[in-house]
Amino acid sequence: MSQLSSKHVIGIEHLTVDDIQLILKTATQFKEIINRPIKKVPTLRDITIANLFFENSTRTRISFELAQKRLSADVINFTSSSSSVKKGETLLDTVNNILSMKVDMIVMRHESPGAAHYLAERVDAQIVNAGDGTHEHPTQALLDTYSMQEKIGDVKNKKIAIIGDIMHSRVALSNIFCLKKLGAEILLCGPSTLIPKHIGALGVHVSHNVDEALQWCDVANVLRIQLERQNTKYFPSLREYALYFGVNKQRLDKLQKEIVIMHPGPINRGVELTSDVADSEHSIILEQVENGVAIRMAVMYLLANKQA
Amino acid sequence: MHYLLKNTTILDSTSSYHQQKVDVWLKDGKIEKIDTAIQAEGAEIIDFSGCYLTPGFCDIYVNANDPGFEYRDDIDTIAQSALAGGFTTICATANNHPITQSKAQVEYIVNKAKHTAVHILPIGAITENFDGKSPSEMHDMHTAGAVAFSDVPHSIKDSGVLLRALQYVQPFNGLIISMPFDKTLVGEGLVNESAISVSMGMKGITNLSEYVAVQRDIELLRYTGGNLHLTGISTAESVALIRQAKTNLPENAHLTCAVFVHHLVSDENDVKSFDSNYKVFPPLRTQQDQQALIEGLKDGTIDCISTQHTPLNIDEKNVEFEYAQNGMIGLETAFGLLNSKLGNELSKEKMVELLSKHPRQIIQQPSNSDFVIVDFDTEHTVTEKTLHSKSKNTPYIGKTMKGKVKAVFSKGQFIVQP
Repeated sequence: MSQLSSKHVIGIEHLTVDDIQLILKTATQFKEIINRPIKKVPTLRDITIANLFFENSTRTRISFELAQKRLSADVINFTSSSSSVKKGETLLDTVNNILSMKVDMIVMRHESPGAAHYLAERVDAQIVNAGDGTHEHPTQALLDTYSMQEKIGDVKNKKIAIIGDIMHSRVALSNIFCLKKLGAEILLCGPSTLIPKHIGALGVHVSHNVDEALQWCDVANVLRIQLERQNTKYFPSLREYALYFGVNKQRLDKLQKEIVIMHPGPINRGVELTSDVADSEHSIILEQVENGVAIRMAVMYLLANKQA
Repeated sequence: MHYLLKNTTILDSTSSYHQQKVDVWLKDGKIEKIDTAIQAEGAEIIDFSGCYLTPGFCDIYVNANDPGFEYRDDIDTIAQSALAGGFTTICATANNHPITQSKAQVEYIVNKAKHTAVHILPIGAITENFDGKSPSEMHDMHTAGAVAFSDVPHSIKDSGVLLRALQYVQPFNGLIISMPFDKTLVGEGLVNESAISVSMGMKGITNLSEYVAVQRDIELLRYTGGNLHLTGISTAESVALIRQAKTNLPENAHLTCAVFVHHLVSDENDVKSFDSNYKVFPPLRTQQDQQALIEGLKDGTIDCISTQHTPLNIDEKNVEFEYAQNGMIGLETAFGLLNSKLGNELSKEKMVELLSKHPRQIIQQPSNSDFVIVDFDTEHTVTEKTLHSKSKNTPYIGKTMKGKVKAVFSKGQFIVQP
């Protein structure tokens, strides 16, 4: 078993446990490489990868690009702040235009759930989903899992709390799929308007009390709250959110144990997370960023390997 | 024209030949004679052994798209699709451009349909520009030939507007058609709300968004009396509410309802692949909902079946699921799909009632001599080529179905299907 079962990485839901373990194991090797004085390897020489970002992103785009450069792939970037549909060209046209220039792999972020599925069924290139709307963000879940394992060992039977806007979070959904496959226990915590009614079907616990959630868990993955992107008001104010769901030092001090704090970034300091927590020794937020490059190198390396 | 149709079994409970195997003699656009063993000199003889002759099918919910969206379908191609599916009477929604909301627009459809072999009956808008506020000239449209009034695919949010529409059309025994849903509860939902919508990362559309509107519409009808037809019922709760309402509504309040073909043959599991051809509104629901709909058909709670025929161009469908428009074409696949799925659960008579007798009663059309000859056993596969609609937006292409329309007699024309 040294190959992925799938030609694409579109979502964690469709990866096998072996796929996930293989990616995590391969990432360890790449993490060692990117900490060497010479960080670049020739592994993906002559492979051309297009990064198509139809939605704003800084860190994910940079992380993918860096991973590609360290693997010696040829990289082109396409960014568009709004979706191509609104611009007048269809997604399929945009992608086929780029593929005509002999591109092997596409990394795509898109605002619409299922966009990566849509593309994978219609083009020959390999697809890496870098986030499709509120659906999945598989490399984020893999790097989160990798970072947890680095800190607390095997996640099997560990207790992971995911705190925040679950309903609009691809990070939450991919984390749930990934961690459940690896045998972790999951508790979701947030305002009741931001937790889908049927989420229990995924085999997770739900709480609306952040103190309870923190007391229960080994790791708290705190999500970014984005009031400005919601067309419907799901909670009254960021102030009230911070009061009832914000993770701060007072809350952590009350616990009779130490827990690990994670955040996919960018942080709204003072809203979901206060600075005294984000910058504390409990936080592995910057490790997540570093591991992101290794995970993405592993994913693209394994996909290219599959194709060859 | 001069035909002798041999050995077909009549399936029409109002006919004295019901359940009898007969010959039918067609001459000069009329049924000359029905009898056993007719001799008709000079007639082209076609043998329909094993086939059934039933009244022509009738669909109360068809988007004809003419005028305004002729690239999807027009009156002529809609008529061809209808005939291919055995429908001799169809109602064209007001969802055109411009919206059918005046006498002139009703007359346009009536006149254009005259040249086709199908009875295409216009539905007028309840409110001007579907704004949900200002009533359109329903009496005048009725006089010009509109058979019902509806703002589908929109629902009327303002209860007062719907109440006054139900009252206003009563002097001319008008029919109001409502597709019940509360838009504020639908929100940004794209698929049925369930564990599946969660896994797809999509906002769900709750059953609640439909049945609160069903309950409201029933109470409005209870107050006003008149004729209300609820179309596109998709949830178990709605079926239960309608079942109960039918036992206790006052005599002057006539409630009927329809279910769409695709809700009977597909369910939310089909959407998992993000195939936008399954994107419809109301969304495909759970298997439990589907079973409740079938029970509703069996016990008479649901009066008829509609197709919600919605032609859409490939560019309106072959996009990301979220951006794809709602709807699928349905006229040409309706009978095959229904018979394949429900052939063992519904009797042949019941199927014909749901497709022809009941919808005709709902839109108050007198019986005519239009008929369709169907074979309940022949298998055939739907392909893009066999579809007459300009649009090919159906997930059932490539599907093999049992049951085929063999011939249609409509408006004096006899058409044998290939």
